[in-house]
Amino acid sequence: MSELETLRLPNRFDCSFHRQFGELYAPLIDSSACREIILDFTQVEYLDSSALGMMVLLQKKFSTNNRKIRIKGARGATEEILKMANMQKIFEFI
Amino acid sequence: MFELAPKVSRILVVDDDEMLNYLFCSFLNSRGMETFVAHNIAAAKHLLQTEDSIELILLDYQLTDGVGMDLLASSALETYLGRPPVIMISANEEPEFLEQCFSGGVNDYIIKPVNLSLLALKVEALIKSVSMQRLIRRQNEELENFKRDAEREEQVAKFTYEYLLRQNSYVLEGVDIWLKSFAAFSGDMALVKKSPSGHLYFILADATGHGLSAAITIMPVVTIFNSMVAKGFHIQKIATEINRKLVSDTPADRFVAAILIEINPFRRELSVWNGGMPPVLWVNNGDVKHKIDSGHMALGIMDDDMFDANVTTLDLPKEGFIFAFTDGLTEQEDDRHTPFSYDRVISIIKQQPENLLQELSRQLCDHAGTEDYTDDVSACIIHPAQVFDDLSDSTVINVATKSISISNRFDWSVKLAGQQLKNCEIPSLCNHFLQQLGVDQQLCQKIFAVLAEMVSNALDHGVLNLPSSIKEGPDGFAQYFCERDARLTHLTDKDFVSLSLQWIPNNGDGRLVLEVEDSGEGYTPSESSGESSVKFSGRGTSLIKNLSESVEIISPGNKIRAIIK
Repeated sequence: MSELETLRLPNRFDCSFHRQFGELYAPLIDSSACREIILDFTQVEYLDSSALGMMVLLQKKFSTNNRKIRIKGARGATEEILKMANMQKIFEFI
Repeated sequence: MFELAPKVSRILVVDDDEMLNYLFCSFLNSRGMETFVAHNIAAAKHLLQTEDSIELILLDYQLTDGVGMDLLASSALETYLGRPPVIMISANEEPEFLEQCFSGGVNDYIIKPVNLSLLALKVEALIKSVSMQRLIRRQNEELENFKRDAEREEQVAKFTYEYLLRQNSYVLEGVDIWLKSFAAFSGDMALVKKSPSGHLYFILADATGHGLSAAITIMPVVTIFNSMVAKGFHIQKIATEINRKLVSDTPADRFVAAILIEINPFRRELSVWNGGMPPVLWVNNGDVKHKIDSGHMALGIMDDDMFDANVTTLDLPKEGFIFAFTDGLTEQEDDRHTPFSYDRVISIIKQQPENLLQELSRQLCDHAGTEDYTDDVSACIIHPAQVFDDLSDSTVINVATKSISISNRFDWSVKLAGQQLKNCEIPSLCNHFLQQLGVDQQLCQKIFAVLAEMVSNALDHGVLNLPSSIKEGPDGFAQYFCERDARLTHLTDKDFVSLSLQWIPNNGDGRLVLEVEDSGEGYTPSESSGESSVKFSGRGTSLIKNLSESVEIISPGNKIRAIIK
């Protein structure tokens, strides 16, 4: 496990991705080596409020000890929805 | 196909001297050849009609029913498949006679008394030489056919390719493209197109190799680019899709380096994806203000899950232009193998020639000493200020105010009940319908987001009567989904969710009315407080409110109506 891990999100980031998302991030939370997660939104076309909920949950679990999560590649309507939900307050957009 | 199969040679021996004939035959048989015996011309003609694949004729000159020359001139021999060679046997060795025989079509000659080993050598040599000639003739024919087929196929391919490019190429003021191809087909391709929502899209691609094989990998790039721009997809999605197609449909050693550019004139943004190409430059007054280097592998290499579609996004500078080119330009060598070079391109840009593309083409031609370059060469310029008239305007139009551009009214509704609710995804169904109607992708995404919330609220809180509060506990999400799955299995025909979409046009403007109704008892969604960032639920309703012009919950709370502009 490296210091920076990227989680690649699917075309539809909604409740159907919930289980997989949990499986992807669970080992990162427990690892002390992992200092930063990048949520890769380049493939995301659709997201819903449960996706926002999952992100907030991840942020809460991971951000102990000054660890960071950043959002990469959110464009167009996806970016707009993330900003509308004020995600820039807890995530850095790159 | 061209192998000389070792087989038994079939020889026709024509001699009226039975003893001599028998001698020739038995000697040739002893050398592994098969013989046919004729004692006169008539019998020889008859054998030619009944026996196939006679490879050689041993012909005595003086026969009882004529001379050997009579058989040579006969149609039986002339029309025989492959016209077997003839060795004439005679005691006459006068030069005039020999000359007459050769001009009459005899291939070789042997003097009586016959030296049998010499006869065998001549027979074998002649059979070999004739079969070699036949082989060469056949190979030549095959080669001719092959060449003709290849030319015809290239014609068809060239027509298709050029047709495809013509169908997909648009001329836009402010975009200049210079493309010089190395072969009949170009492995370079540049296209420019505006999406329905008014964004400018540009692609410059350079396929591995030249000619037809390069052109073949370009074709899917052209069609995908064109259809996805028409639907308003972002270049990240377009790059991903092209990559996926090339990985699956073209050989592993074929790939396409490409630059994809999208200009959003409303948000004044420039997005660039550069995979395996020289840098994209933003030039103003002869200076390079921005340089976007290749940050990715070319298209068609990485598997889908490894492919990085992330783009570089800049605020669109007010002045200047975009300059993009393929490596055919910088790598073109002169007669001393010195490449034209990136530095030279930059120095030409610095001189600020009136027409940069013309100046580059002139200097490249001087450098190479010819216009027959060693690779496809292309260079393109985009002047956003010329493409979009209103860029100088100081107000930035918010993309959210961009309205749906459909002039005809439409209604669409669907109602699902019982177990269908479990299996059918209404938002996807609706999204597919809107895409079919040609609604811009960005707007589809927004409608989808609103609709997904409305439907999931209707199903979860209405039909299934699940309280959001479950989500707040530890492992709340997992628990919530587990409970949801359990309740879904108990759905009956009385449980339903219905959706209706109604588009009301109004002078090029219009409203989309979304209504979702469910069989539940009605509920009032919790208002999300200002601390939305700490709660895990209650986000859905505020999302609907933010993305819609107005939202109304109809009493007793099992019906919601949202209006999107």
